[in-house]
Amino acid sequence: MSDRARTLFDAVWKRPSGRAGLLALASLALLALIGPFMLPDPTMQGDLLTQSLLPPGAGHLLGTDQLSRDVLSRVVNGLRLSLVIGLTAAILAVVFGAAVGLVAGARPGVVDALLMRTVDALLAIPRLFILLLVLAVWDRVPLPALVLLLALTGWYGTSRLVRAETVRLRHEDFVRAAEALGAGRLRIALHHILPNVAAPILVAGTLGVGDVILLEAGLTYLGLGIRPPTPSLGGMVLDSRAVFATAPWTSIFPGLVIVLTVLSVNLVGDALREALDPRSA
Amino acid sequence: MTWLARRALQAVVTALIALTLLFFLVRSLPGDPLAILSEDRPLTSAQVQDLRRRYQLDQPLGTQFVAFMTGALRGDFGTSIQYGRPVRQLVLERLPRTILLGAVVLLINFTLGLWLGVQQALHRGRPLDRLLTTLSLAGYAMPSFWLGLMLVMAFAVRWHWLPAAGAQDPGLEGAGILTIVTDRLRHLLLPAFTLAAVSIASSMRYQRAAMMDALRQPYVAAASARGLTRRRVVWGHAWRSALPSVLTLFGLWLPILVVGAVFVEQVFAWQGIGSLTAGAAAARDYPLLMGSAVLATAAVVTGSFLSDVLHALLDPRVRTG
Amino acid sequence: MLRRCGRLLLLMMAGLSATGAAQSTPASPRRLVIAIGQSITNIVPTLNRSAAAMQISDLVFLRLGRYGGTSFGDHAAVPELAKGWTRRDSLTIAFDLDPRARWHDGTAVTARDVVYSFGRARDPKQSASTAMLLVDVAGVQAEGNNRVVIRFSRAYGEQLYDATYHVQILPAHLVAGIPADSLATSAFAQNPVGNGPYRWDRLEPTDYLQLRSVPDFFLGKPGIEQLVWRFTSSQETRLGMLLSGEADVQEDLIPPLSNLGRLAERPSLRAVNFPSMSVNYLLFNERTPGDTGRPHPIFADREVRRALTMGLDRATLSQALFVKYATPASSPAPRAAWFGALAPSPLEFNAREAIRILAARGWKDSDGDGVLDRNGAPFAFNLMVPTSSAARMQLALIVQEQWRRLGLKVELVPLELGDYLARRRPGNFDVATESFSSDPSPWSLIDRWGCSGEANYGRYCNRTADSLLRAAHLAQRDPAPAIRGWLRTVALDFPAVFLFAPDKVYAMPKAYGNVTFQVESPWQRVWTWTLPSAGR
Repeated sequence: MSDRARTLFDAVWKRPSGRAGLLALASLALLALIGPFMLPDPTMQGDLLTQSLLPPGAGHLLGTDQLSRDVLSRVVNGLRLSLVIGLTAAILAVVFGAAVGLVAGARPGVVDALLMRTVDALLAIPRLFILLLVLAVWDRVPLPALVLLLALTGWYGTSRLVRAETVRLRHEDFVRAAEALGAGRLRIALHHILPNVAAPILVAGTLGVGDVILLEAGLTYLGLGIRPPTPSLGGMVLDSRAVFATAPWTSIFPGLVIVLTVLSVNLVGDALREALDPRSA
Repeated sequence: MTWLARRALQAVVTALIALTLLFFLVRSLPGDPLAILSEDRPLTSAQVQDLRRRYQLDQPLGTQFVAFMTGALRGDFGTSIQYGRPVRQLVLERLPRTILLGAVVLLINFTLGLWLGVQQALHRGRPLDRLLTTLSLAGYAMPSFWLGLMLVMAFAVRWHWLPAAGAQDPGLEGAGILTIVTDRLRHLLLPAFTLAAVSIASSMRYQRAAMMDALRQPYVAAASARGLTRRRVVWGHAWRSALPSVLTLFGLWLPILVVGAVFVEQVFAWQGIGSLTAGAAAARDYPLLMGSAVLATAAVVTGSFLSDVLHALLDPRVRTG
Repeated sequence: MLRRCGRLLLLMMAGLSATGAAQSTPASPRRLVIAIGQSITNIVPTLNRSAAAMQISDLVFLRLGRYGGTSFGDHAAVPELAKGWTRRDSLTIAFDLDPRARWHDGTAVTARDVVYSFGRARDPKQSASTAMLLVDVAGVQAEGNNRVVIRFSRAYGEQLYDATYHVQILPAHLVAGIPADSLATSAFAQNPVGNGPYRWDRLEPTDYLQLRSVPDFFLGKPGIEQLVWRFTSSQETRLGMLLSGEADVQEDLIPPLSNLGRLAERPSLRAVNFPSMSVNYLLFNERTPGDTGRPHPIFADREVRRALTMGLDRATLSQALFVKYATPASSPAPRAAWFGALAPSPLEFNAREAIRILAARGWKDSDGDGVLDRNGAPFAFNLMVPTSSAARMQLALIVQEQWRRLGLKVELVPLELGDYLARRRPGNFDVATESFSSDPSPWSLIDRWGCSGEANYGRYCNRTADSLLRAAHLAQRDPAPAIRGWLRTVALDFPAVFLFAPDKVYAMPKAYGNVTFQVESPWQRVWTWTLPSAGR
């Protein structure tokens, strides 16, 4: 398994776009990890009458916003939140999707049909719609619930992938041999099926992180995601609308960070995809 | 049963299951949809009771579900709690604007996107290909509301070249057809460009892959060997075999046409289905939310059905599967 | 082929942008486009709910008299549909209708219309809010075609105000036949016929509403021929429309203050400010959230409320959001109200004293975590704010931070407007960020601050205050002492932290002359504005 991981990493690193993506992602992750400890409190308001809407300069590298809060600190803290949400939701989605796919693939018949029909139906409802419905109607969604929600709307593709692979492999000799030897279904699943499907799932998961980050920013922008005063990138764009013309730094930087993050994630995912399917190179 | 009938039945079943899931999802969540009405003057409890009765919110869940399903199949989603008018009327009113925006974005995607994808396939592996990939991915990575905001600030507010919001200028009644068309186009430019920028990556990618596949076909090598210029090969032969895959993509774009881009419509005050949905979500307008969601689901199901049909028409091998 | 298309597309885009640049010369001054945030669905009196709809309604449906600057006495009204009135005795006033007044369909406005309209307004089933305000009107009768006699059940100073302010006159010949509960969906509601300087033109739902002037309006010909209200939900889009010339007026220019500077980009625009009838305050819930039978564990204590008021630097808050465009408030009285001057002066900001008072009431930081506590329970509460108002959102953030420095743990709860209202009514909150716009009479505040007020969400109750307000309402000579007493009592009870009374700041074209905005209904006199001289 770790050999495969090394191979994948090398494949991504070999490609210039993949390398750029990995480097950017690593820098952003580092910033998000360490930054909050070195920067001032993102919710602290300075002197409202003299420190608000200061342009980038000494003292405030990215300037201040309307409530005299340091933009750099808010951006870094927002980035951290976005990365955490993105990663967690993507991982949960992959796990859930893989589980559903395995179950559906391993048990042909009613269960399979039921699960896959449900996946078809869920795919028919646009993801944003379900999120809007739930977030708007639910009373003040706590953060873990938001992450779960994002995960529960993003697993369909993975489940189909895994199911297809499970169905295919079920008839392979080595699986039959394992079954004959008395190996439990779970063991077969984990040791034989999943490794084969790990790579495509990885690609789907990586690209899923970017989608989740964009979705979360959009939902917060509509007022439905992360609530103030918790700093969030989408929230900063929302707050900056009123003063964008006179203080563009309050909107440009959070937006740029979203773009950089999602772009680097997608570059890595793209490089992975190319590595797995050379025809698309 | 013919393949077509089977596929159609599958679409219908999928749609019905989706509707059921939607209904129970919305109804099972907490929240009071009547609160928005008491905005500036308080409602007496008698008035609240009356409204609750009018919107059937005091019936048992099962009754509501049956009423909902029969209503949905008729196209009747009840009365919007926010606006006090039939949901169908509100949706139909806004549908043309969304379709207009969606159609323009589709057009951009299927002309510019396709052309860029072909360029990428032709220059595969070389710097231009990589650059275009990165640029399109950068576009995809942009939050549409942020991009829209920046464009508005630049083109509408700072330089006054294009209008900041809306779909039309209300003062142009009675003006000539050319003025009206120009006005509409000017209002369309920024929102369409924003949406196209964030979505062009997929069309490009699709076309690039399809084109590369087509270029690998033996007859292409044969045509080149016969001495046809690269240009003729591309635009004459390979193009034609790449087209089917791309046309099927068209069917999958139908949902975008109808659902509209919620964020972009919001930023540009584009009074389409997307902004209607966002407002309904904020106001917990159950009937209106449901109407939009059903419309969106129907669009997705129809789109993928159309996509499959187109694919089958163009590639007979699929039909026997 | 595609390449050629691409070039064509680029050319087209350039061309469209150019036409735009050419079009940015000012549109006709005969048409005024106002950008507002809420969409309007109907403007029929007693049916509409929002403040914006009521303002527009005032241009289409007039009253017997319009507000005269005070709610007390004989100067409470200025002739409008009635050309004059005579007081017959302490309980009766006779109004003489102006014979020139016409409905937009040509028929004359008669006493029958007035009697019908009062009947509607006094019926609790048809118009609950006005019925409550007209409870002292005993009877309305027509004497002939042009005279209406209104009788009151008691003698009191606000009779003229009550007779004129609350009721807009509807056309009986068009509305009387419609059953009350189908008026909202009737043909009349889609196409109302009024008697004011502007008539209904058209409504594009969720897009814009248009009114046309009535050239032979009996009080004078309106200068501006078309009034358009465009609906756009975001404030900066409205500003964008203003600056690009698609709209002429923006009503909520500030906050943020930087918008004032942006007006300089359009030299043809200016900022106009005038006092408003609204007051911003932080309402304390004096009962336990979810159980109005029990007092609130923290805020039932008046001294605590006083400390929290004293511990907020309201002046800086007001300054940061509005600079000079807001006046500090100490009571529910808005500065624009005629009785606003009777309010006591606000408490001085004094954080140290606030902490001392809290300590005296048992709130100390005994565990050193930066949060005050008492008997093991921390001083923690939630502050709810509607996300629909950017100003209130900012306000709440600043308040949260300032109170945090006192040692209070404030959890900010931003809510969608509907959710906010749904929690406010049953008292499901600790502190609410409120903004209330009152009517010109102090009696209109009884609903919010009286013991049995329907809109008294904080459950504040002081019977002495109630009787003072009632005495002011019923005063026959000088209500000022009673009002002053009421304002002082309420201020000293600290049912809320009264923050400030913001001015209305509108951005509008410089070109118009004779511009006045009425505080109780800003657009009411727009028909008297003069257009710039021709040829400019």
